[in-house]
Amino acid sequence: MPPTRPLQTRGGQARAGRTIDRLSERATRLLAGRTSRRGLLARLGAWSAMAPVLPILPVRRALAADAAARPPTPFAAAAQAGDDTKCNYWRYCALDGYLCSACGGGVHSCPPGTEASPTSWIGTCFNPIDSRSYLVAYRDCCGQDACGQMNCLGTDGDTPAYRPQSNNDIIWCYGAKSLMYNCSTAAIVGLAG
Amino acid sequence: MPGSAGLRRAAILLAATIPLCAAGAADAEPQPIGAAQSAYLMRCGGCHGIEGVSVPGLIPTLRGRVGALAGTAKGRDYMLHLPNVAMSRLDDATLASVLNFVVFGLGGASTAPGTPPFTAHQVHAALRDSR
Repeated sequence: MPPTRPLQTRGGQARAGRTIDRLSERATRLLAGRTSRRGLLARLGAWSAMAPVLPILPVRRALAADAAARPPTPFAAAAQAGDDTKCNYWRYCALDGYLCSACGGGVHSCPPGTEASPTSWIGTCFNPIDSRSYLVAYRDCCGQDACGQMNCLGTDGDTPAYRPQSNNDIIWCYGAKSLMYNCSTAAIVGLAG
Repeated sequence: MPGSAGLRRAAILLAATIPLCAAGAADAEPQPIGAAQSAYLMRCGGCHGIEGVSVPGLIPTLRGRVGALAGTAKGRDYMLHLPNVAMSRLDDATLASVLNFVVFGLGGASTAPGTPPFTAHQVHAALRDSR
């Protein structure tokens, strides 16, 4: 039986190979002529650098805020998070007294010459920045006469005096060396569950 | 060259992003406090202390001690009739969970093995006349 004739000769295969080579070379040269490898690298770098920033962009945060909890009280709805020497600072939602931050101390530190009481009144305040509620300990600073600066009255969670266990009119200098009230601090205890 | 300008922009963006990521990693996410512990903090922790220790000798220390009370019928009855427990506005189930946080959470080694937890039914039965 005679051998089967090949479909294509060696010369034909070589011609087809050269054509494919030419076409590939032309396409590659065209691509290389119109694009820049460094430009491509730069674009890839820019996008990969942008990815972690997306969650802090205003648009993303606005969308997240829509889905988050709304302020639970009138105080929380009007609260601000920028100035802790003002009564409407978000941590002061249940603070009844003078602000230590306006009396020579800080939002969680006593003015010089006073002593932090070991007991405190604990409330829950809504943070307008992350739309979450935090437990806040209002620890009075004691040992000097009343500061008299920035007298605030936050009443979130406050009960009338006939339920004294949840009433924030009480001076919380119990346990301190002196029962003389000076001002109140507002330290975060943790994230309310 | 246009390519190097793009590279510079990417490098600047990357450099600006690294501190942001680092700051995010450094700020530990606050862990939510459970409902029973939150109720304890808001209603008991002001005096008894956030960790169950406040002013020894003046205010009873709960941490490592309170479990002894929960081991006897008299002690459990005493706990249920403490003013801030008996006059609490919490519902029975929540109040039972707060008592159990105090006994099993703060009590620690002072709570004997096998000490039964407080139940909503027990709280209701003990306090129905005082509320």
